[in-house]
Amino acid sequence: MIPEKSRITQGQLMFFIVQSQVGVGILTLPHKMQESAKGGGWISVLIAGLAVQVIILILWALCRRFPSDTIYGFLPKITGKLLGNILCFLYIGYFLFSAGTVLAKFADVVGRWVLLSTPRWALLILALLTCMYLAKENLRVIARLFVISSLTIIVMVALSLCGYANANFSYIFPISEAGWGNIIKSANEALFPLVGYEAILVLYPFVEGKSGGKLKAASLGNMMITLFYTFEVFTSLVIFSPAVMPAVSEPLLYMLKGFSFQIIQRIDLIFLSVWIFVVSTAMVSWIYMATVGLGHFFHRGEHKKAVPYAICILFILAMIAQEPSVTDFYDQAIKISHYTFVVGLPLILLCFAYFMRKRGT
Amino acid sequence: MKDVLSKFFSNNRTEEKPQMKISVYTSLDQNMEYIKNQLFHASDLKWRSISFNQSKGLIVFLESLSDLQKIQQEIIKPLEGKSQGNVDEVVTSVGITKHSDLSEVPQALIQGNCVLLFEGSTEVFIIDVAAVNIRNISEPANEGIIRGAHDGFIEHLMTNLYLVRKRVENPNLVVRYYQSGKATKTKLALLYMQNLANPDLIKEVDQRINSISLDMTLSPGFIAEMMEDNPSSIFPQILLTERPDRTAAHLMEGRVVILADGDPSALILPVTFFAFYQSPDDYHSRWIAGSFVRLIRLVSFIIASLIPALYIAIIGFHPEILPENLIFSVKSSIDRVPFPPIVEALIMQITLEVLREAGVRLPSRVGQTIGIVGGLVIGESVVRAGLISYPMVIVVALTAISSFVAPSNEISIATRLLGFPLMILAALFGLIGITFGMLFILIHLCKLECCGTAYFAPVMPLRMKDMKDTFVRFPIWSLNQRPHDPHPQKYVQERNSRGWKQDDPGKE
Repeated sequence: MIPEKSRITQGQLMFFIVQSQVGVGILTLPHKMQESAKGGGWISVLIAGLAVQVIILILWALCRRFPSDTIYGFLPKITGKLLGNILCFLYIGYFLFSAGTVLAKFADVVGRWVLLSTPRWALLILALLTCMYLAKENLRVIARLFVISSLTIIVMVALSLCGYANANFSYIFPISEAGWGNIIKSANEALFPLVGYEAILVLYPFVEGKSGGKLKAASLGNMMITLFYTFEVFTSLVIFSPAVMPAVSEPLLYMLKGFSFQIIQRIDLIFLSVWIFVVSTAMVSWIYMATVGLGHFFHRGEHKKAVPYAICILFILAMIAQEPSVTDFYDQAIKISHYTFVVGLPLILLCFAYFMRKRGT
Repeated sequence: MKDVLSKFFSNNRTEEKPQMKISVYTSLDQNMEYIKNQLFHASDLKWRSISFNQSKGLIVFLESLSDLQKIQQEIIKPLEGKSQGNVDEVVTSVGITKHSDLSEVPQALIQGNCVLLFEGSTEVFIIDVAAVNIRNISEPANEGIIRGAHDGFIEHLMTNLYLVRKRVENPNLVVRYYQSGKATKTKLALLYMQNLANPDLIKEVDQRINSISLDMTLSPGFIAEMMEDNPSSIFPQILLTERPDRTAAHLMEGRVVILADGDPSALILPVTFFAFYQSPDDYHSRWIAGSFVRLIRLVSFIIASLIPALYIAIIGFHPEILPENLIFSVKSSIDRVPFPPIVEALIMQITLEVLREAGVRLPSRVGQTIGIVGGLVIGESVVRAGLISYPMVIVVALTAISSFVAPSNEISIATRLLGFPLMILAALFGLIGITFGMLFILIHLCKLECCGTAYFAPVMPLRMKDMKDTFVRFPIWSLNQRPHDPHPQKYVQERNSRGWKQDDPGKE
């Protein structure tokens, strides 16, 4: 049922989760954390990571019941054909919308930091064409690239390490300045940069091996990313004083802008270039998830035929989101749909499947 | 769309009709007439009459292809001397066969055989007397090395097979002949190790060779283009080499080699990207030195494809990336130039390509002219005239030198070609454009496959063990497994070679 060319190993699943999770959020996360949780922001990220772990458990428990179906295959099996198909389309919409948001934010950051006068559409086309080139491949090729592009995370960590030259650890104290309530509340905020682990809903049947191993791979991926995010937030917190932080929307970039090596003056540009790798892979991951669904419905399972129009939808979505009001609306919509589609619905479906004793073969 | 394209490109295949069988006439004249007609009275068709067993006979041969010495020594002399007996026994040649089908004779003649006919007999003897005119075995000019074997393949298939067989003296080395080219009948030889090469791979290659349907197979380039998985990629996916040692090493890794008569290049497949950056030199020098040289080569790949683009991006978009004092010296040179950096770069790169191409064609006596024109006129005057800036000249020179570091000519051209789209992206989007360009190239490399082997292995898919012989070369004793990319049947290639080291020194 699953073609040989699309099978991936558990290690590849781990990197797939890693690459889907690291996205645009990383740049603005420290700023947001400091705003709500002050010096304890990094703890919020850890808590968010734990929450994601619980969600992964739910998703895994759901997928495990249908080991040879993607979410588009098992939704109709649980809820009946009509409702199931409607839900599938909602999921496709959610995936596309997530990709669109990532793309819009990416264009915002690049437009603000590097290419001030380049038209937005040109930038979007460049990014989308590259993504399309990868997304229309089979899963194995995508996973291979994701494994290698995970190296960029090491580069990003190494670049951030330069920041410790003028770190001031007293900035984060007292850790509970904002109160534990706020720290937990801002964990809610930290959940969104971590999205991407939903990939397991689509990828599950493609992965070789037993279900336990798949859970382990997904959890490990999530753990790596949580630690990475925590590290970046912590770095920003110890480098920028609480007074400066509210003025800095992308602390990591500002921090690197201040440093220089002998021959390279603007490390932030290097960081941004590396960051493009991660953002593109995250987008490809979303596009892949959405197009597998579109392919399931319209192209007899061939996801690559669905890629071109998925790309067009993303282009339109990202072109609309130029005004801050629209971006805010996107953020709100993502938050709500994330809770609905990744936490709420799977939980309901799981209970439903459990009590109705529905199982795939 | 794809169907239309494939229809457009596919050729209408028609099976050739098998030739009619013609039995040998009993009359000598009739036979001779037939042969002459079949070869259209070619001027180099020669014959000589003899008599044996009291019957008149004829030796027919093409003087251009036959070794006259052989005909005289091995056929005429014994026949004249004995004048009685069995022809197979009297003739001392190695290859002698009896045929009763006259239609086979013209084909045999043009392969360098001579034909022995007798009056009243319905059988002909086809005797191998092919002349061998070959050049000496010499070191391939474009794959020179410092240390190691200095022999190279030549245009004669048998000599090439000899060179390989001599290096791998093992009955498991299998040679299979194929014929390619409907009209030219070029002889191909497929070589592989029976106990190493993956059977699926051999089946796949066999099928691909058999499906070649061409009138003429001129060069291995034809065969390579017919067999590659992605012929429209910029990267070569089949390794061409003229070195027997390189060929033998690849055979022993479980790969497949194709040799063609009339060309000194061996085709090796499946190979990975990194095979193009390996050279026998790496293994002849000490491992640290070998690793260093190989790293230099891979870095030069990055330099050659990336440096012009980086220069354009930095000058055009982000000059602030450079340290202050460097900015001033670069800027002062650039300000005098009327063109944007991309135009500068394109002018210089194209000039360089023209010079390179001219250098290949020019006879060596005129070579000095190129040196003066290239070095002085283009390097110096172009800056003096204010057309190109100094940094650009440096960048282009660096690119050119780096691209020639690659041990394979195919990859060196690919590298330089790769530079052009990157330069355009850099001119449009700066560093961001370069990053997307690199991502695009990586995706492309990740997609490429050659007979089931990932082209960018062992990086994509990642396999740490094979990294030992990829970016660097680890000591030979640590390379105890073959690379996994061609899926060989046996992985172990080295056992405890330095076992003597574990000897207990206290024992005396």
